[in-house]
Amino acid sequence: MILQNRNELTICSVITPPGQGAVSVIRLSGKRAIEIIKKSFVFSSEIEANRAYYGKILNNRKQVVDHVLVTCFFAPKSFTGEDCVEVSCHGSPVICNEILSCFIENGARAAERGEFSFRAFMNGKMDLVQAEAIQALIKSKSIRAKDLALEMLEGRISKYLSAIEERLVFSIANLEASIDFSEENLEVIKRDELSSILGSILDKIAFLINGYQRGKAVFEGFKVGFFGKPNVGKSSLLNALLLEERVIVSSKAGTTRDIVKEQIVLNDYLISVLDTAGFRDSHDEVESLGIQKSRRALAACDLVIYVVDLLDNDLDEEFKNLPLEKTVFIGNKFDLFLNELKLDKEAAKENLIQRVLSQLKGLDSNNLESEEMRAFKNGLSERILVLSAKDALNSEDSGKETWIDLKNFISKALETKKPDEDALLSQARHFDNLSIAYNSCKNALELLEAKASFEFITIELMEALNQVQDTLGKRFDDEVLDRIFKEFCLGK
Amino acid sequence: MAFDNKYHVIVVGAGHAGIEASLATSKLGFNTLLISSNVARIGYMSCNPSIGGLAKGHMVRELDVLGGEMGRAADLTCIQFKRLNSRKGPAVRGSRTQNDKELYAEHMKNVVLNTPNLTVEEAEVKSLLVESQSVVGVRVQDGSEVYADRVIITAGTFMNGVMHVGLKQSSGGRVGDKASVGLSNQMADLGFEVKRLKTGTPPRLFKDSINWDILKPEYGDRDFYPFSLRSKREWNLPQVACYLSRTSEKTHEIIRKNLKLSPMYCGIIEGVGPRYCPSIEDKITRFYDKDTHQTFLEPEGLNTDLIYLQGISTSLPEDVQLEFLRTIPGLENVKVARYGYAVEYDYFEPSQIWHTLETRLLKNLFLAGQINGTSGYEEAAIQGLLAGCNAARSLAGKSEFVLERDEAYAGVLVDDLVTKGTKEPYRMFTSRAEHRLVLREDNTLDRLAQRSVDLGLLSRESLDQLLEIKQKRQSLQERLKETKIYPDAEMQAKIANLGTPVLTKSISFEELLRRPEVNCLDLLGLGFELDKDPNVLEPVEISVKYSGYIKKQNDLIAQAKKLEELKLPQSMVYGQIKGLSNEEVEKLSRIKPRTLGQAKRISGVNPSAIQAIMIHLKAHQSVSSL
Repeated sequence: MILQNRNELTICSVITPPGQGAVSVIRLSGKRAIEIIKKSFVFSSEIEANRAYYGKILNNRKQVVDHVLVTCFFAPKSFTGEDCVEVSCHGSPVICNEILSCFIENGARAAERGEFSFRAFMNGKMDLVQAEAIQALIKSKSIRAKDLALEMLEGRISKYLSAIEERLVFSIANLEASIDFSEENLEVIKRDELSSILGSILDKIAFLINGYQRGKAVFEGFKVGFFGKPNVGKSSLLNALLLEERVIVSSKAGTTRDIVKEQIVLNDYLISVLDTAGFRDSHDEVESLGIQKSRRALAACDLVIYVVDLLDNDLDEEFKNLPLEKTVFIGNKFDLFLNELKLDKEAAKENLIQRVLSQLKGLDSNNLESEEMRAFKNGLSERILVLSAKDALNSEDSGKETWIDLKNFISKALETKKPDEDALLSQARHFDNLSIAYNSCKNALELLEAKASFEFITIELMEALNQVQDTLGKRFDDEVLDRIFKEFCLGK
Repeated sequence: MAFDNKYHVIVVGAGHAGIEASLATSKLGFNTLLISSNVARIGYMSCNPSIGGLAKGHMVRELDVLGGEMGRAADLTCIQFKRLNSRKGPAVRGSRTQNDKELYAEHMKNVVLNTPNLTVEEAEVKSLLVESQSVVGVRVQDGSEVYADRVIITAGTFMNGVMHVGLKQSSGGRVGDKASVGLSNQMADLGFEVKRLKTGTPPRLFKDSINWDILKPEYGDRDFYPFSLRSKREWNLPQVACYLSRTSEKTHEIIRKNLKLSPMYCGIIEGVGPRYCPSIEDKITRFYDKDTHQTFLEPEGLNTDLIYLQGISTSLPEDVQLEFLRTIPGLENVKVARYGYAVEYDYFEPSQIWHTLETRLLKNLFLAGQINGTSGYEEAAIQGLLAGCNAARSLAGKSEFVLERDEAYAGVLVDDLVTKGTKEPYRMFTSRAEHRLVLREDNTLDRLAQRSVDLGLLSRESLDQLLEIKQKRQSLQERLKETKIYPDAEMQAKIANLGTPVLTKSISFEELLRRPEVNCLDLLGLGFELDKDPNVLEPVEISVKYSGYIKKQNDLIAQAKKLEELKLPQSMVYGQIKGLSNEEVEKLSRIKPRTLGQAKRISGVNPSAIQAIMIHLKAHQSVSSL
């Protein structure tokens, strides 16, 4: 089938999730949408846009298929920019299929995945970033991911990018003026002024790029790993998390390397729990191999949970390798601690703080007085949870409480301290483009500082501008088209 | 009227465009009639006494390699030479000559009058002779008709020209010359979109009335890089200085007080003027916070007593002009030979021509120069050459001659005009060329030599001379790449002497030359044999030193080429393509872009439209490949 005909055709599809439910919605979109619905549905009056009509869907043998609500939208005031009809029917796959068959018999064709958004994009109803946002929205698996996709849809990233675009255009215009009007004695921008503008552009792009790790994690899952000496209770905690949380989103191995054990949704966050349990526990393994694996896992984690046995006074040597800025501590086996020392949770926590602090003293003293280290020390009590993993597996109230503590502790650790989360980059395409833009601006700044002639600087800035406009869909090249086809699952 | 009745080509107008057009068609073997309303003013420089400048100098060199005359005329009559932006990078350097106006025009007139196949007549063309959507000749003022297979119009600012000085208006295309009335009205009736533009010129002053002692002289460069590779690298005429002065707060006050007498400010002039070349009224109004504007006093020639006041174009009344001029240092007692004035004229919205400069509406009719909405001698001349070549080639049954945007500024110029049209007088800038780094003055020959061979305007002798230079550049470049330097003690000492770090291993001379502190001539001392001809050395040195950027630009060109290679059939029905707005359909149908790349450059055609067209193309490809 060729694309030209494809786009001319009227398409239909169920737009609510598959399966049983109270209501399912079917959408028809295209030139013949109204004509097709009229064959199966009798309107009580002249069709008005955006109004719901109650009635029966009849198949071509005039048998009643279902009682439904029908709403018509006329081009261009619809989601796709074409004539659209939305039919709300009872939520059964059987009914949906029967209605779709009616429509197809009457001249519609089944829509491909993403085809409604594709048409909306082609008809100028949304820019590229927004089209991608819709894809992201559909794919989001957690509340945070959905929020982020919505922000993208509302154009916050676009707005941010537009601000960058404007500064680039301003800089280029000034450079060009000083080249083409050098005789006129114009007061164009000075080098240091330009360099501060470029600096601000770099900061803005860097902000977006830096947000990508987090944005990506929001969509693909934050990687969380449990570390600690053998037998401190890592496996129990892991099991507690996995057993208690019934909403298992994906058990597909290999989504992010082979150490991901499970994906779960914890509070608003999608989490990929890394299987780190075996690194040090297995005595069969050559020790160094275990350590190597463990280090790789530490680096890959968005959050490291270091588990300590409250009764064991030695923290192990792995401690010195911990990426402290993303590490939190769980003091396990509080039940035994309570039995033995008769001290409460506060005391246990204080005890653990002191042990971590004393370990820190063993570290390179240069780092000790750094600002990050001070911040780490000051916030240390926030980073510590005392519990007994055994309880968390317990189905009684005390168990529930422990479980909730654990859950809140982890999701709190994932919260960002930065308030600026409204422009988190989450799409690989955006990240790639902006990384190139960043390098080009950096080159431009270096050239400027090396007193290079302006036309070389403009080459770099033009490249950056192209990337930004490309991201916004303001510029066209066929690679963009290829990506769209890939993303929207069109063509062969 | 002593016309023959029939020519191959008629060229209407003998300004910078008309000259190049008529020289091209006659040199290519076609019997050509050049009609001028004032033969005494063939090749006259109506405004500033200079040729070239940023981006314009590039075009003069391109014109020269292709066989045009402007570069030769400018070289021979140069009385000051400057390479602008000489301290900036190689791509944005532009050559400019100050010229002796009389000698320049005299040179052009001699060439035109002595070219075989070319007849010059004085007459005013009143209308075109049209038969079934083709032009077959022209009718002149006494009613006689002359027939031709091709007609090229290069009427400059003369069509319905109106000159303004203060609130007074008079018909005319230039002081001393009548306007041409009739032609553009007829063409409008035939369906051409005719619009108005405005331009202006500053006052000319008597040399003796200026107090030169208090003015700062500005001299030209010591080194002369003639526009033409056929010219000698030495001055033909004595070199002179220009002088710098500035307007004062008093000047501005007088102008401000009299703005109501400026035709620009009281709504008399409807034509759009160039934003980049504002009148002094404009300058002080738009940049009211600047308390002074510079002006150059430029001699119009060696034997004339006229001084051109660069930067002070004005259309204020004569008494106001005199009053404010006398507030400019050096001009306290100035006498004015000719006051500044504005001129309004008809132009044809240039998206009405094809890339060959033939009109879309009428076959065999070509338009070139200011009537296509451009400004500047150089822009006009290159269009004249292209129109002439295309007229001649179509007569000879040869393919169109269209320069690409990555090939020449001339290509950028025509593509911009045809694709985007223009609302103000179009002047070339380096920033209009997206592939600026490869469109340098120094490599003009390398870009266009083969094109010139194909065109055949240059004599065999001149072509051989050019190709020899090109050959020398190539072989030097190859030798630099292939010849290695072996760092023995003696060589290291010599290298250290150049003020550059010694070598750690053997490298090629090319690599050494890439170092900023090393230049081509330094290599002589290291035992590398060199021909010292700067026509060879400079371009090679530049291409070595900037190879990183040039490569980057070439990569971008290769990317852009993908879209340029997607040809759009002229039969494309844009209304049938899904996803195009009405405005886009209208623009695409009117301009009929040759390639998807050109479609992308049409203003108002959005990226989504380009996507839609591409989908449409792919769909058709898959149909035809089934």
